[in-house]
Amino acid sequence: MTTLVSVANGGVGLVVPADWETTLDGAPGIPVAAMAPPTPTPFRTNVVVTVGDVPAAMTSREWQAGTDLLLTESLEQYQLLDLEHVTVAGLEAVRRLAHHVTDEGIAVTMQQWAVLVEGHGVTLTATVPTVDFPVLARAVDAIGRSLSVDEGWPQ
Amino acid sequence: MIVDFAPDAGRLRLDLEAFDAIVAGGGTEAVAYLRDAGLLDGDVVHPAIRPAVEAARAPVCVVDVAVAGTQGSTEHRMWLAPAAAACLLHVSDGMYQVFVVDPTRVPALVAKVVRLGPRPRLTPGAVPCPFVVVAGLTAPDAEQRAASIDRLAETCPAEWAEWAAQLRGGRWRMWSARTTWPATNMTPTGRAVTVLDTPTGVVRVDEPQVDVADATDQTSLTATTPTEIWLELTRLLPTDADLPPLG
Repeated sequence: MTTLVSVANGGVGLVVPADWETTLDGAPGIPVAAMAPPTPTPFRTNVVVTVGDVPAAMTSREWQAGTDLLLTESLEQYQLLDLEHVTVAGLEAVRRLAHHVTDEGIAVTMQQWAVLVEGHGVTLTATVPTVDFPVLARAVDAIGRSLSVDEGWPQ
Repeated sequence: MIVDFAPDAGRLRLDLEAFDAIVAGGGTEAVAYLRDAGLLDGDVVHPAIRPAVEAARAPVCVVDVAVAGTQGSTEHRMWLAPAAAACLLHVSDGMYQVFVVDPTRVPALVAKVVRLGPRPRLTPGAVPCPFVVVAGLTAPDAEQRAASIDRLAETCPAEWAEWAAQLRGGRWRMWSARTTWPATNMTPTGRAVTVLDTPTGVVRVDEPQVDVADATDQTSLTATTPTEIWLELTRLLPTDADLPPLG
């Protein structure tokens, strides 16, 4: 069972497992966040979608180069493990896989899908405790691959 | 036996003989040397290395990492206990850096040691290959290594031509990460992943199987991705179900 979550005036969608807890518009620029059911690990697997403005002159690759720098500087023990060029809704996008340590000292694996749509940067970030990654990797990958952007959005 | 210990600078480097001596308690001569080096105060292990020694004395699981390339081979070892993992990372000339990490960070440490990172995608596929050819990559003899590279490159499908060219150009690294632990019936068991890495893509080397027809050990080389390799690394460690019950 899955749930289709449609946000940003219906322009951005993703599919999450039905037993995940979903929060809409929990914070400015974060139209949707979803959390997996709790496990014994003291960190809940979660997916967060952000939508933010990107300067008009900036290309997708420039935007992502800046993101790489930001992640390296802001996350403890950040380690980029994979970076793949993919498409989302026919647009150039990236998927990155990385490892870092949270402020609470928990080792986590992060997967991020990012697509630039008419000056709007849409980013889906999934964070999984690394010890749970073998169990949750496929589910998280399916959520990331379900990210969709409607033709014509954001007009 | 060599020890380079500067606790104020956070530096502890030693050879395997010295580490083994601390873990095992050591003979009279070894203990005297370790005391002189500052690692033992009487029979008490210095606090800077104590968590590492305790993990190595009673590990739940041991991780062996081997990295080979045209410049030679290095080996690293980690002992995982519930509270901490002791890590001996080879630095140079038989000397190892000792440090302790949280056991959940071991997959990331292995990824760092083997330099797992973004790579271009190879055309998906798998090819069979005699294991002796793969093993030849780490042979001490340079001619044997070169012959293995040639045979391996010839084995590759046409779609992997760039990857084969990287092999021939010496731009490759073969690494393996292997875990062992006592299974529920107390016999050693574990998991392993072996990878042949080049700047143009990564290939997984499967565990060899005996080919009955020609009585040789055959392996297969499978195009893969850093994401899949990361998944394999996170699966290497034993789960509660893999381990014998406590007590």
